Amino acid sequence: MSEAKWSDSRVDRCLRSLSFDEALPGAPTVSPDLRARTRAAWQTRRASVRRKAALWKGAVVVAAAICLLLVTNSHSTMADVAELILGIPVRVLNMSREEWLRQGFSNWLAKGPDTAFLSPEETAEIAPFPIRTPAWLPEGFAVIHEPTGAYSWGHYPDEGWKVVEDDRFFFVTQSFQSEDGRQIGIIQSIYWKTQAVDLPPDTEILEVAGHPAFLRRDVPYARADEENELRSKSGLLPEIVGYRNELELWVSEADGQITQIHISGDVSPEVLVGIAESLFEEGGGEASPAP
Amino acid sequence: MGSRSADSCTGSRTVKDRTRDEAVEVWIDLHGEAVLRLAYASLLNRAQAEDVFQEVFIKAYRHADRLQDPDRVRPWLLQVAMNACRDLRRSWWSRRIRDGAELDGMTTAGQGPEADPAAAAVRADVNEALARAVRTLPDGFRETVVLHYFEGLAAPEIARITGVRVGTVHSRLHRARQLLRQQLEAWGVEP
Repeated sequence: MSEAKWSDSRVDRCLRSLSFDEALPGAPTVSPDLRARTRAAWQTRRASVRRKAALWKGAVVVAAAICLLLVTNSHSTMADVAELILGIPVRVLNMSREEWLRQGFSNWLAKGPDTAFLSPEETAEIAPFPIRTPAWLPEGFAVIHEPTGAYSWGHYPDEGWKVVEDDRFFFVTQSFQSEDGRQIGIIQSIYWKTQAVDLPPDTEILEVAGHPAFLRRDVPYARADEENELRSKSGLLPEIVGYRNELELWVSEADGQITQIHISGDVSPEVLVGIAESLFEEGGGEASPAP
Repeated sequence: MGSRSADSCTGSRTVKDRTRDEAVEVWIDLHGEAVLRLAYASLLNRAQAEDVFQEVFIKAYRHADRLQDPDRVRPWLLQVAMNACRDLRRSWWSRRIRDGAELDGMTTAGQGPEADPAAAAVRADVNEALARAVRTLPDGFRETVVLHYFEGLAAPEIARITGVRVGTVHSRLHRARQLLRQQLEAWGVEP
């Protein structure tokens, strides 16, 4: 390896001679189409607001309710929105899986502090959502660990790693393993309301046990270690060590909150759906060993 | 004056609307590229950058009456863009990836810049290598570098836009250069 040494002032000079287009090629530009979409989005939103206001002012209650429904269901301002799910604009990104992967591992920090998991009792006490456990598992699978919760770590540019003691960062995890080493993991957490949700390409939108669900087949995964962190920081993909199927459910709770249930594993999508359905069956609620 | 029906209210633009719409069109001409560039630098995703652009200018339409001072418009637009990018980055998907990684030491594909093995080979050309290194800077640092070096903004303006202290902007710039230096040296790029 070369012994090249760079000074701060040299980097500064080089940055000053670099253009935006060189640094970030492929940036979008303000096209007539983007302008038109923005204008149309604004006009739709303005019309919605005014229609709502007019209805509130004068119309009879029944008429207002109908029109409000129309306003609420008018198309979203986001481009390429596929669906409104539980009131959230959701779209499947229109890009190749390769493109998605190439975007996949930037800013990836493998080395975080160890997660401080709570006891099952503390977890049950703190969890801001109902903890669900499967009533059914495929043959040969047994519980590795019961539902245990923890607050996520967040990484901040100026402060480094910080545990975030906020309900939105609380998650509960449980996992299962088969005799031949295959694993299934379930993570539950609160849905963190955002303007819209982008899903990876090829995500299938389903309904499972009456809840919206998102199925992703053959999702690659990599080991979170320093070597792979270095690879991602150097612009390389981390070494892919396997593929899993993933199923995500959004459950609208009685209090209006949405719980996300993420099930993944070295099993078929059909098995994931079976496990997901069993979370809502009579007898569900306790993690059970293999039948 | 009789009351207007809902249709007449929503179907046509008032004089005030026209003035406001024209103002925003001018802002798109003047600052649209900067907004889009910042969003792209922050998110490294074309579709999301365009979404942020739309959100920013929809907000501009809505608040145009309050943006009388032309000098305030650009920083305001960039600040709104920065906030929108932050919201998008905090979305469920990017958070989910982190949770999964904590669970079992594995992580799946999330979001980030381009990366292909051939392009990651050691680069002879300094500009190209530096550009690649800029793209690998962590969030926060990358945006600060873009605002300072490519948009030509001073630290106080960047602080206002990114919502941090001026001292933090200086330290981010310093740290970003340090990271770039380390990256270039690791690639063996000659100064």
